[in-house]
Amino acid sequence: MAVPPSGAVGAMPDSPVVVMNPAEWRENAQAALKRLGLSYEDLQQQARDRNFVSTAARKLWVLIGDTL
Amino acid sequence: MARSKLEDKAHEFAVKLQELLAQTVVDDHVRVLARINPAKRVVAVGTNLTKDFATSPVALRTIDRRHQLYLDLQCQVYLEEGTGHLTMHHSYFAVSASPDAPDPLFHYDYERGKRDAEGGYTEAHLQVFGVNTELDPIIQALSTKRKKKQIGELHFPVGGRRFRPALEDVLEFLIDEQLVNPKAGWQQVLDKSRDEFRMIQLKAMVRRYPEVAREALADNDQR
Repeated sequence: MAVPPSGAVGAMPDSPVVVMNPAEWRENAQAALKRLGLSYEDLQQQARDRNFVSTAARKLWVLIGDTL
Repeated sequence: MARSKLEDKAHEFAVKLQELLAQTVVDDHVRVLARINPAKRVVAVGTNLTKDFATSPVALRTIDRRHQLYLDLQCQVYLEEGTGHLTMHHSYFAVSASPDAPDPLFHYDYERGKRDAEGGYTEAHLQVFGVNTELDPIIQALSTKRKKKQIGELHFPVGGRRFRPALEDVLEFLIDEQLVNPKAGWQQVLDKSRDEFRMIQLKAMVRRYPEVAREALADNDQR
């Protein structure tokens, strides 16, 4: 499959990639947790227990699990 | 400013997934997007991924718009130290009957290291939602530690880390079962992409079991 050439992200308005600094990552992850009414500790516990309260929680764990 | 290796790899990965879907089973404009955390060397990837980590599924091609399936795809990958390869940490391929359904019909999961964790279970598994009138009562009677006692909470093993189904296998399954109407040339696209995935897994197995690889090659030479 064709892979676009390397270059500056800013030069590619349709780039699928966004780089976040640690504060942005945390802030957006916390916003996602707030949307679900959960704390990160809640989500960690649900992952340990194999008992997510919702599919949305399971999906969020896939994306941010072990990163905060 | 030049992109880092992690950005390059993340870009390549997201575009490959996007093109795989666009060339086989998705009509509408499909966006597979990535969010990178360089400090942690991790990348979150998903269909229509938003800044604050929400994803939404994409509609799969159908011959009848009244009956349509949707694919929700997301994963977390990381840049492995030493090899510099992008490695899958966690993946989730879900198929649902509606873009807004609270639960999918089924999903394939892979969670690296889950087997070794406390209360661990198979790293690669399939979960199927719904009601099973024969199995559900058995789960309720026997699986006393489980909080939710339905078939959807069971983790059916699917091959483990190195032999788990690829996304291409899931797409092929949907096509073979006539649940999705593929685009012309889909088989070649899936085969090529799946071969790349399998070769990566094969190389990892050879690195892990070099003696077995040498033995197999010696057997082959003697034929």
